[in-house]
Amino acid sequence: MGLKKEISFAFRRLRHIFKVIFANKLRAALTLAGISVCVLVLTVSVLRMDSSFQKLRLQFSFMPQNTAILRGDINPEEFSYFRSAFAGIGAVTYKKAPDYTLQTNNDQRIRTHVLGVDNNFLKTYILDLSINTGVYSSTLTSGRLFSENELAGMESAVIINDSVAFYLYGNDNPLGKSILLSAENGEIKSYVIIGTIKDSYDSASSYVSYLDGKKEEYDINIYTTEKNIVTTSNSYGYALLFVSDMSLSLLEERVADYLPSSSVSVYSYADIKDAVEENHSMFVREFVSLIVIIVVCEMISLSIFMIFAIKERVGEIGIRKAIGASDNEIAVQFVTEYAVLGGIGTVIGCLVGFFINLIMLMSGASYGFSFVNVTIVPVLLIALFSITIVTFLSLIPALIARHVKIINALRFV
Amino acid sequence: MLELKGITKSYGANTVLENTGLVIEDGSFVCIVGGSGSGKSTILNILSLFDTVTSGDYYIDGNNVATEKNKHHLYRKSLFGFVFQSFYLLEDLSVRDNLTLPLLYVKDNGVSDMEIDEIINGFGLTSVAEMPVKTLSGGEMQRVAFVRAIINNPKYIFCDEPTGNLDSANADIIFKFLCGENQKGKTIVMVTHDTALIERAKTQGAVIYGIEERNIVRLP
Ligand SMILES: Nc1ncnc2c1ncn2[C@@H]1O[C@H](COP(=O)(O)OP(=O)(O)OP(=O)(O)O)[C@@H](O)[C@H]1O
Ligand SMILES: [Mg+2]
Repeated sequence: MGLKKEISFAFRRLRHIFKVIFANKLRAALTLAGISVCVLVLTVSVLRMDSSFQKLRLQFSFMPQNTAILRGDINPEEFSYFRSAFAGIGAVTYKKAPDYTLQTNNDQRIRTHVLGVDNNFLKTYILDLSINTGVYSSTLTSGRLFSENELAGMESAVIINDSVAFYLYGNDNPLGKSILLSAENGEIKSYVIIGTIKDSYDSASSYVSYLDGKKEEYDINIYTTEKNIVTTSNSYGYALLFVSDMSLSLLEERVADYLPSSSVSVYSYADIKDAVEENHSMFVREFVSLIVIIVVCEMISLSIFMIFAIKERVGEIGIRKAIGASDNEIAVQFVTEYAVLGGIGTVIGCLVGFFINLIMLMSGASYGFSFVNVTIVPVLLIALFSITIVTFLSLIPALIARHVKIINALRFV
Repeated sequence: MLELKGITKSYGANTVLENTGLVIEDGSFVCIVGGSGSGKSTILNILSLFDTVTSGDYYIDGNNVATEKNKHHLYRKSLFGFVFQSFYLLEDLSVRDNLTLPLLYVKDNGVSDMEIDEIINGFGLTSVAEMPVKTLSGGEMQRVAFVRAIINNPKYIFCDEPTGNLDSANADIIFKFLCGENQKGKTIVMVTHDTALIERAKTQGAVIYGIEERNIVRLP
C-alpha cells in the first residue's frame, strides 16, 4: 500500500515534469537540439573510428603470418635478379619507374603503371601508411591467372582492374581482347587480357577521376609477366608485401647477397603490424583528442545554456517554493527535467548518428567497406555517457535553483 | 495562532519595522492597511514565511519558527495559502496544472481527480481548465490563484492586494470567496489600501491594523 502510493506520487511528479518541459516549446526545442547535435557528432565520430578498427583487424586477418616486406629503391636490373631469386615475390616499390602508355580503342593514350608480376601477386598487399592507414589486397573477379607459357614470357598477357576494363569496354566482356602498351623508348607491344581484379577501396576512385580527366596523377596498375618490366609505384609511403616461407634472417642475407648496393630493407609481419598500429593509434589519438575537445566545448555551452534557462525561471522557482516545495524538491525537479531532456536528446542524436553512419558505410560498400559490421555497443555506451553527463551538468542549475530565495524570486514573475 | 514578537525588519540601512509585534487569532479576518511603502507587504511576507525577520520571534501555533528555517516549507505546504495582486501563476501551464500545483508537493493530499473537477466546476473554470493560464483574463487568473490557495485546505490565507488588478465585479467575487472561507473557520490576513474593501471587511468583523513609525498598531 505504502509502495503503491510512493509509485503513484512519483508518477504524478514525472507527468508534471513532462508537462513543464513541453509547455515552453522553444526552450525544450533549443535544449533538445543542443544535446542531440552533440550526441550525433559523438556517435558518428565513434562509429567511424570503430569501422576503422574493424577494417584494420580484418585486413590483418587476411594477411598470412609469413608475409614479409621489402622496401627501398632498386634499379630494373637489380629487380630482375631479385625476382629470379625469390619465388613468390609480388612486387617491390621502385621510385624511378618509366611511364607506360596505354593506347585505347579510340586512340586515346593514358599513362599507367605496368607491374611485372607472377601468380603470387594477389597475395601481395599494399601497405598504406597515409591517412587511410591500411593493408590492401585484391581478388580476381573474372578470367584466370597466368599460364606456364605466359609466366615463361613466351606469350604476352595482362590482368587489369575492373574499373579500367569498364572504361575500355563498358559492359562488354574484356577477356580475350588485346591492349597496346608503349614504353618510354617507343616500343609498342600487344597484350591479351586474361583476367580482371577487383578495385581496391582507394584505387577505384582515383582510377575513375584520372580516366575522367579530373586527376593529373595516375595510379592505374596493369599486371603482366614481362620480365623486363619493372614493377613501379608512384608511392609516397607505401610498399609492397609478399609471402615467403624463408626466415627473416635468411631473407636479409639473400637481399645482401643479390643486391649488395641497394637500399632495400626487409621487414617482418610483426614490423608491419607495429608500423600500421603505431600509425593507426596516432590517428586515433588525434581523433580522440578532437572528440574530447568537442565534448568539453559542448558541455560548457550546455551548462551556460542551462544557467540562462534557470535565470529565466527564477519566478517559477519562487512560486513553487511559496506553495511549499522544499529546496531539495526544486533541485530534484530540475535534475529530472534535464535527465528527461537528456534522454530524449540522446535517443534522437544516437538514432540520427547511427543512420548517418549506416548511409556512409553503405556508400563506402562498393569500395570494399562492405565487411564492416554495424555495431550497437558503442552507440549504447555513448547514450549512457551522454545521459550521465547531461544529468550531472544539471546539478549546476539545480544548485542555483536550490538557493533561490522566495522574496527575491517573486519579483521576477 | 500567529504571533510576531519584538520583530525588526531592515533592508540594509532602511528599517521598515522596528521592535514591533502582532497577534493573529485563529479564525479571524485581519486587514493590514497603510500608505505605500509603509511595510504592509513586508509584514505579509514575514507571516507567510516568504521572508525572514532581521531580529525577533515568530510563533506559529506556539512554535518559534524564526530559527528553524529548514522547516519553513512544511508550514507553507500544509498551513498557508496565498492570493496576491500579481497572481503568481505558472503562465505556460494549464489552469488545472496551476491549481493542483500544491498537491504535487504533498504525498497524501487525499484530493481525488473527481473532487478537483468539482472544484473547477464550482469556480466556473471548466471551460478554461485545460488552457494555458497566459490566455486567461485577470479575473479568471485570480480565481485560479484563489482555488490554488485553498486546494490544500490551509489554516491561513494571506492576501496582498488580492483585488488590486481586478475590476469591481471581479473584486467582489474574490472578496466573497474570502469571506466564505473565513466563515468556514479559516484565518484571513489581507493587505490592502482599497478603502471600500476595508469598510466591507469591517462589516464582516475584520480586525484592522495599520503601520505607524515602523510599528504595527491596531486601528478602530
Ligand atoms: N527586497 C527589498 N529590498 C530592499 N528594500 C525593500 C525590499 N522590499 C521592500 N523594501 C522596502 O521596504 C519598504 C516597505 O515595502 P513594502 O513592499 O512592504 O511596502 P507596502 O506597504 O507593501 O507598499 P505598497 O502599498 O506600495 O505595496 C519600502 O520602502 C521598500 O522600498
Ligand atoms: Mg505592497
